Amino acid sequence: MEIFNGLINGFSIALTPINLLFGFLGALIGTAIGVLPGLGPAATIALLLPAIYAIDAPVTAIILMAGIFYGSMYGGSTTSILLNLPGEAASVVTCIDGYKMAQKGRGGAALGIAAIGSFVAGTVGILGMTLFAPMIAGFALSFGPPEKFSLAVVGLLMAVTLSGASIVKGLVMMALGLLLASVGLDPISGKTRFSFGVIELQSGFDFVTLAMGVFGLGEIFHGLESVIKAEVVTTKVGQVWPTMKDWVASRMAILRGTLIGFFVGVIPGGGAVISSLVSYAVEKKVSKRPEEFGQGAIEGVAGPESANNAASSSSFIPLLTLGIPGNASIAMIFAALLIKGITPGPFLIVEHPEVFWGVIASMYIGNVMLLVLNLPLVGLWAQLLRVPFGIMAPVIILFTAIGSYSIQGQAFDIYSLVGFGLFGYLLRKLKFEPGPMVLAFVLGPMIEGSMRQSLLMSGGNFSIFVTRPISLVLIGLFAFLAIGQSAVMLRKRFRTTT
Amino acid sequence: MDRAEKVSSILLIAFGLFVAYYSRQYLKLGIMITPGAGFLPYWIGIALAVLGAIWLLDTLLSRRGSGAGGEESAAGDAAAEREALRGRVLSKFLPGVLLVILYAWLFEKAGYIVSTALFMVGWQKVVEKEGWLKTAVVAVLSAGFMYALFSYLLKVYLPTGTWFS
Repeated sequence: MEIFNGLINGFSIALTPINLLFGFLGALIGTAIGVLPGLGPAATIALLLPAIYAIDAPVTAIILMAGIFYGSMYGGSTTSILLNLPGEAASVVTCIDGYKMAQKGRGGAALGIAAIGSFVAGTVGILGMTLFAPMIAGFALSFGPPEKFSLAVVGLLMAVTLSGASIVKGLVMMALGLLLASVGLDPISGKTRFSFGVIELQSGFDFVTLAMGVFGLGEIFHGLESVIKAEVVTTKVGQVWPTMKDWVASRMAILRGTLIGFFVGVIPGGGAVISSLVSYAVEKKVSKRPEEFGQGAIEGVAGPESANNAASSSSFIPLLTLGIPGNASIAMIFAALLIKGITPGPFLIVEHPEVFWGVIASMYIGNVMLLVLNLPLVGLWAQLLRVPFGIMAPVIILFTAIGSYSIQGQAFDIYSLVGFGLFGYLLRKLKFEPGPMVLAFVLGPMIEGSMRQSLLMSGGNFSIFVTRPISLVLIGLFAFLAIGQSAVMLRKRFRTTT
Repeated sequence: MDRAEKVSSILLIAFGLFVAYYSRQYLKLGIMITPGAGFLPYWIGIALAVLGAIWLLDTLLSRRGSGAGGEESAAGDAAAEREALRGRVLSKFLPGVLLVILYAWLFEKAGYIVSTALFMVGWQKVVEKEGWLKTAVVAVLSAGFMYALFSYLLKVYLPTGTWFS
């Protein structure tokens, strides 16, 4: 009953004209950046962070950011299917069968099933969030500093081990993120750390500048030396409504993709990319015609596209209930909440029910908006690819520069932005995934604060992290997963060498 | 890329050791019950140095593993790709980065309008090598759009330039 009342309250907030407008804008921008290759959802949310200072109500700002995130999952499939060009990482696997379908003149059916699967999975994901999030938040209310520390560290380590190809590089990113978060005034001793006499650094690095630099500017710098293969759209879209045969073939794939996406999305580092890959592998395994995969099997589109949308919904659960962002895009939303004076975590549902339920309700509405935006307008979205990089790049640079200046009105932030942009470029060159760094940066103050509080509680004894049951379970769970993954990797390496 | 990875990993080791030294020497580690400002950064520094060493070792081992069995044509393709990349870095990346740095330097001094106009013109002419007409249209439209967005819609103060005041 409490959930039902909360949801009714949420809908009364999400259905106000201003929130509907911002929800629509989020879905629109999200679809556009999902279509455009290069600029991912994390970069776009980072670029828009300065704008949220101008939005009064926190719930409106978060509705906009959330819309961009799940909207990009819808848009990402369009270019994967029509051009074999994934708009974002979670749609890479859609290229395999989606593009083959388009080549056979069935691009419309692929786009249609992707949009319908996304709608079903996104809605089921939100439904799951509606049911489980309040329970998890209630449980997390009993967490003390040791549990918070273990949760944040384990969440970060899981994000590192699950998200990238190289664990060492992921750990380097995590350590650098924690180090960058420590720059500035130490809140306990009052000592200034790593400012080297620069007054502007005494308050530390600004998250918005860091995110815009590493994600936005870094991608532009990297794009300058890459060959962008954006061809003019020539593929015929055709009929977007799937046939009865398509339905029969896809319905179980959509269901399986939804379940996989929902559960993988909850795990920090799991997210949309991994869930789409897992879903594709599962579909191929359970199919009676596995030889058709890679040749235009509709299940190869329906499963992964459902999975990445379910994951994008469920990845909000750890953020809204535990205060732990599981991926870079969610970390941006975490920062947006902090900017608006709201600390994400178990108290969010009690202290700011309008934000908690308002955002959840807006996601139901957003999913319907996305279905309407994507199915009939698919041809129009594909035309976006005609915008040349030569115009987009300098406009994004202007946007990031003015955006970072607008936060504190000092040119120093533009220099920081350029520095982070060059750093982001280097990370891409050296094949580092910047996600864990951003996650560590936002969680850094909480990790350090809860560690110091825990040590004070235990009289300086580190065993507090393994003697408290919840903390022990979290660490044990991570150890179990890490050992399992290491065993899989070692077996793979052994197989390739023999 | 192999050399870049090797150099980067060595730099990371040096950086990690510097962070650890600085944290211990200047920020202080404190005692276990009340860790000092340098406690966490110290361990981060140590972790970075250790991770840098693992990265270096991994790079060295993988190079040895890949051996010298590459085909001649593949080597030729790689050389051609490297040359093309060098060309793009010199013609697009470096001028682009320099223009952004110049923009940051000019932003408060010359003000939003002058610095943005110069940046957009510079970008279209130097990086994109466009004609004057397209350059002028793109510069005016994008600078105007940004001004309207930030100044009117988001109510952000944009500098008028210390050189002119």
